[in-house]
Amino acid sequence: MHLSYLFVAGALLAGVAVFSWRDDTGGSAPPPEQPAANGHYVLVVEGDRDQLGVTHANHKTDPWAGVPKGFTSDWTLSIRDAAGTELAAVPLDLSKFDLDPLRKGQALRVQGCIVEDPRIAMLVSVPCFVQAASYAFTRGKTAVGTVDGAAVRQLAGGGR
Amino acid sequence: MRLLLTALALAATTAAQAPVVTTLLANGTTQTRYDMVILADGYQAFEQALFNTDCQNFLTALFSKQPYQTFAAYYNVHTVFRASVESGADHPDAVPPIWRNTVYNASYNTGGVARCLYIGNTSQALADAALAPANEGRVLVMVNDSRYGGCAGTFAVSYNGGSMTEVQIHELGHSLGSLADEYEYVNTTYSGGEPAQKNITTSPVGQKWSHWWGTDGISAFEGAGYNQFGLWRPKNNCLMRSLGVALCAVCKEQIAKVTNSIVDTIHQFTPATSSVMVQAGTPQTFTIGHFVPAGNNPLIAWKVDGTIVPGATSTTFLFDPSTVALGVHTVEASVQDQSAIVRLDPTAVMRETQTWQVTVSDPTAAQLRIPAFSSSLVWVVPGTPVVLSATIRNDGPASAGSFAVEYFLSPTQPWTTQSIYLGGDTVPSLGMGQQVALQHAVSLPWRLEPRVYYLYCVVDRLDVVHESFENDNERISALVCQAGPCVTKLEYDDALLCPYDTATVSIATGGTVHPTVIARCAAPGTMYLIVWGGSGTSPGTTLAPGLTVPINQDFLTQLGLATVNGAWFQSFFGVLDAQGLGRATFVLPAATGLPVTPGHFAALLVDPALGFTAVSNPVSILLGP
Repeated sequence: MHLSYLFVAGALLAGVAVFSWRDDTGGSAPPPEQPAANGHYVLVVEGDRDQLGVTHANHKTDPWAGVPKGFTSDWTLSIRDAAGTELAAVPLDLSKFDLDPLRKGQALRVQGCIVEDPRIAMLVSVPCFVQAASYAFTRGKTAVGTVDGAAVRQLAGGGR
Repeated sequence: MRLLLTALALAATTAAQAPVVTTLLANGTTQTRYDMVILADGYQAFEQALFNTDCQNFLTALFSKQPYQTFAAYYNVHTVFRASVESGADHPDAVPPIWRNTVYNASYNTGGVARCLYIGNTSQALADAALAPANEGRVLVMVNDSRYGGCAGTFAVSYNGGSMTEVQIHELGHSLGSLADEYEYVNTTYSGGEPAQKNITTSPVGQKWSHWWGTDGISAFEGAGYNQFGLWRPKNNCLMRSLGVALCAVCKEQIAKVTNSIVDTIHQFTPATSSVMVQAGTPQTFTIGHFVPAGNNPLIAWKVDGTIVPGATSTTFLFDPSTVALGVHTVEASVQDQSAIVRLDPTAVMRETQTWQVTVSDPTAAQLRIPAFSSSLVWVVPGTPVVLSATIRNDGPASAGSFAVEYFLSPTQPWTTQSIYLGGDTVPSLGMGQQVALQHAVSLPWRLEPRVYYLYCVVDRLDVVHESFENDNERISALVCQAGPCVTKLEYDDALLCPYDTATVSIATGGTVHPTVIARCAAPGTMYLIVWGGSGTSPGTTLAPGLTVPINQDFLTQLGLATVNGAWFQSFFGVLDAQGLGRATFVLPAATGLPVTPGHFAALLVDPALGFTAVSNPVSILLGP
């Protein structure tokens, strides 16, 4: 097979990928509907800069209040269903913690009256989806922990 | 009996330690307000009333200070009381040390700083805080100890002595507002980069808060962030520097912005759903409710499709669908909080919006769309037969009469009527809410090139059907064409003509068609000649052994050869281009006197050295009335 043919075939395949996407969403097709949430969870997230997990969960019937206006973060909690579809991506505020890799595992420090702790322990509110299968923490593109959806439901008392 | 007593005692202890969740201040739903949570540490069960009093005192003080006073209605406050076994906090630096058994293990001298009172059992504290109806991730902790102290991180912690309210509001400035301490330690010089906090800077003029210069004593004062030199603060004194004074304008602005980034000041709206169907001729009322204080001079604006509606500044807006075209539109309400506390708001946290997607439809109109469209093959070669499948649906309130569904191929977007036409089907009618599945078989033209083509399905191209809106009448897919076989073909390359081997030209009005020779594998320099006749295609005319052009010669053939490349038979004789194509044009003038004649064209290839080398298929040309 000639290289030029391979090149053309590759370009054509790339084209097909683009068009396949367009076919799904192009034209006048409406955007996919947001998955419906069943209230929200308040999660207790604990760990350090390299490993995060959920240690407590509380279910609230009130709707999730969303992300503060304008807030972005390199740290994200991604909630996915069993097929891997992302149901929500919640940016995490770790500004109160000491994220210096050299300080990991060490005791907290105090400057003035501000505590800087390498040990992360915080509350995170997220929408509650019945179809949630995993809760994955990322720092940039680095995975720093995944929690099974069933485990979160169990922590919240099960049934949701 | 002894076991029973022990069990009862344990049960009593457990009951006493069960957390009690109370909402002290309920201004609105948790979804729209900033939900503050206060925990108790070092309070025994009998001291719950003391904790409640401490919280009330704190809230009274908090909401008497700016910016909390102005935005008091923006907060809900919840408490979670879990009794400790002992009162107070640990004093590890006392002689002798004092140790207290408390639920969150509060301790002085945290991090070696004597006055830093912070909790050790953050896991339990967070689990308890999560019991509150909602939270914003920051938690206050009241510690039942008379020794002065406090500290802040995720938690804002304060003792409950005489300066409790000032200490806790200061710590809340760290925890909620991410503000820095503005006090300094003697003989220290800062050498780092620009701090992230809004209230300290390395700029000797305080550029960071230049929008406040000259107001409320704001300037730049050296000494802040634990350094006597190298860091500047906005005001000579502020609660983030000393207890007993007000927060400065810079700190107030920051706290107000954090609060407003979380609250939704538009707390109610109608219609309650964000997607609204409106029929043309029927005005729709939109309303909002907000809780921006009147003193903040809230500015309400309404937009339709991004354009401000002049004069629409109240909480109610009457949308007149006759002012817009049928289709999808947006109606947006916004409330701008113009509080003097915030002067700089680049992320628009002081502005709240509510948007509705409004579909204006005509009750007398159909609404055709294409929910699905695909081809039986994606990888094709020229001449390939394919089946195109399309589902057409009528979502409108009225039925659609007869309309066409057509298909086009184009190397670029968008399609036009000059694109390669793949034919179409006619749908005789389609009722309200009905859909039809179509299958259209077509052989692809031979002139396709090796490349990706956009494949379009187009419904009601001529707008025969009256629809609410016409912008959803096409759907796109793709075909990938590869190089085809080495054949010699003749076909028409004309707009809206399919199949490609049949054309009609009126002898009365005249007309033009474009017979095109396709011979991708022909040697460079190969010539082509297109001939015609009106006497059928069989047996044809033998040019050489095994090479018969499918045209029975007659007077039309003679006419064509005699005037080849003239006004009627343009480029009927020529050299194939680099792609192996020979593009000709047949122009029949009006009223030539020719009779109605069913005719044919066919092409033959001539190699200058070898003579005739190939012949094409015939294509039909009907000289019609």
